[in-house]
Amino acid sequence: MYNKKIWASLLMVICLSSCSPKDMENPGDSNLNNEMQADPNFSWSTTRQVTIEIKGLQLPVSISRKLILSTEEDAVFYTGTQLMNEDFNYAVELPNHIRSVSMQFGTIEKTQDLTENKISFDYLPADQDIGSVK
Amino acid sequence: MKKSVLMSLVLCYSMISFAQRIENDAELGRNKLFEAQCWELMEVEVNNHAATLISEKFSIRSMELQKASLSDSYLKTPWIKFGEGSITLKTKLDGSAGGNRSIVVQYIPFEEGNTDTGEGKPTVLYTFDFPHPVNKNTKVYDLSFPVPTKLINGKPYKVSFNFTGTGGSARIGVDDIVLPGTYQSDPSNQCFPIKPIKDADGDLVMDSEDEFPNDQYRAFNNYFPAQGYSTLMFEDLWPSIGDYDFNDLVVDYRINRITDAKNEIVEAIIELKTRAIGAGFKNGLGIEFTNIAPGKVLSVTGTHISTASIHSFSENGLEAGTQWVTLIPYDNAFNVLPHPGGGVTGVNTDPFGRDQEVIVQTIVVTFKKGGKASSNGPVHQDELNIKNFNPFLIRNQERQVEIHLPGKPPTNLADRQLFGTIDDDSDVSGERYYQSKGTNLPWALHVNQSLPHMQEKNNFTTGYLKFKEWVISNGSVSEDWYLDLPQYRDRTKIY
Repeated sequence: MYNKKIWASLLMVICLSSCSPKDMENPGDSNLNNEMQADPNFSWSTTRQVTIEIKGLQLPVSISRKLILSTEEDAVFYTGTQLMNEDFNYAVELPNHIRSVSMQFGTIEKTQDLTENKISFDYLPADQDIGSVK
Repeated sequence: MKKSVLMSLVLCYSMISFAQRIENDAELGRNKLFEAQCWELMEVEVNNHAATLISEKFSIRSMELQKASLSDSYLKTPWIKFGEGSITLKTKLDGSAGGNRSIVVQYIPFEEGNTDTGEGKPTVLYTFDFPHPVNKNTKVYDLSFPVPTKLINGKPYKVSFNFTGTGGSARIGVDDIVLPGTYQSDPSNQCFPIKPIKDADGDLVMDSEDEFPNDQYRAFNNYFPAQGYSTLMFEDLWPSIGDYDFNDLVVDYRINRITDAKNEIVEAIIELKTRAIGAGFKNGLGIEFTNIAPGKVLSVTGTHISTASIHSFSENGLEAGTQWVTLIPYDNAFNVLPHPGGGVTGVNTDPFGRDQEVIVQTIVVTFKKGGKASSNGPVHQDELNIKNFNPFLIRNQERQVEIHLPGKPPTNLADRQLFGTIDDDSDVSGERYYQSKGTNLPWALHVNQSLPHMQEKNNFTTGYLKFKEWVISNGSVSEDWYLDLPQYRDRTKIY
């Protein structure tokens, strides 16, 4: 009988404690307040906004193809159709550690380093030694 | 005829030539701009040198010609399909001394087998010899010669204007070149001739570039993050600060915006991996896409909602009564990551507890069906991105208690009376949200890659050793704190 009462009491305690949901922690468990203070304007972001521009090319025909933008880790972050004679402007959030962006449009492939979170591309051919006039 | 049988060879380039003639008046002013249009300039220069200037601001001039060679100095056109008429140009000498000077014009057929340049054997079409004496000759000559009928055959040709001469240093200038015909080069394909491309689904995206080549309503995948998953980590005691292990809810996500040929979103495929619940609360997860009207969504599938949910939903599957697109992937995290038992309270946060398998939950948000958007209009690819991605935890079945990333606004269903209470320092009028009083610390983190979470009750800074200096330096130091580099992590604290 005595044992039954103990078991019943134990059961009641378990039931009561499980009936009222509570979290696994309590307010103020952290001592982080004493260790770390952020600037009020700190963004907490592991990415930053990068602006990408591609200058359109004056052409006697209209050419539309797939434009691909990617990081130096070959991570593609933009794919879409683009008219070669139109300017392209795109703002994207890229991871903080990314330092360069590549564009691919048909057989045209270029890579640029980020300068002040901005990159400018064009469709012009790369500089060549031939063609300069003596 | 079945689509699988019918392989339509459709021109994927808009072949609208803006004129029925090809012109070069040198007025672009730079060699490179003409080269970008597939002209070839060998030892010739676009410039405004007075001695060879013929009209307007720029002309094209040759090098100092000293030998009778057809390959030293020339101007070559892009590929063109000839039309009826004559080739015309203006030319002059610069008045310097010279023995003789000539322009030899050749046509060059396209040769399919020449994968380097595509050029076949050149044939002389026309020759102009400047009259003697060359010295002090600065007269402008108008040249004109007809296109032979045999070349008006629909095939692509180049025309090469070759500048030759012996003796002296006299240069040749040319300007106002006009050829009857249509432009046929493709600057996006090494200037080879434009050719019909396979486009099986007819959406004007060629099959080789179309990621859905047999689906006329879909063309490209667009992921964010660009590779792998990103991680969301929450503390759930807001507006009180908790133990700062950021594992009360840990969710990996990635979003694929499938777009069509117009760069409009057909559907957003959201993959979620709820990895850990370091909490006893029955927390839910919400995702708002700020500034996208709910009426633009046709349907939502893949959410896990309890039978007697605290949420109400619209016919399209979005949460009802919200200002912007708001979906509820689940109203109770334990429904997607059940407790495995074994005596611990949380799931996948206690190293001595049983591991619970993490499943991928796939939610599909549809914006276009059969090529048609809702009556509220389409959503362009750049309208749904990380900037307006606004995920939030819903605390313990209390709909009005939302916990967002720092700086992100609450939905209109959140209880704004909670802002500024206990440890929270949000200021609705100042658009400052979810940061703590005095220390400005957040209740949620968003990391651009999949990040292992902390073991229960281990402060985040004890596992990610560069995190604190990133914060207190205001981001100027250790901005890559999340990378798995030497001395960046204490793995004994990480799950």
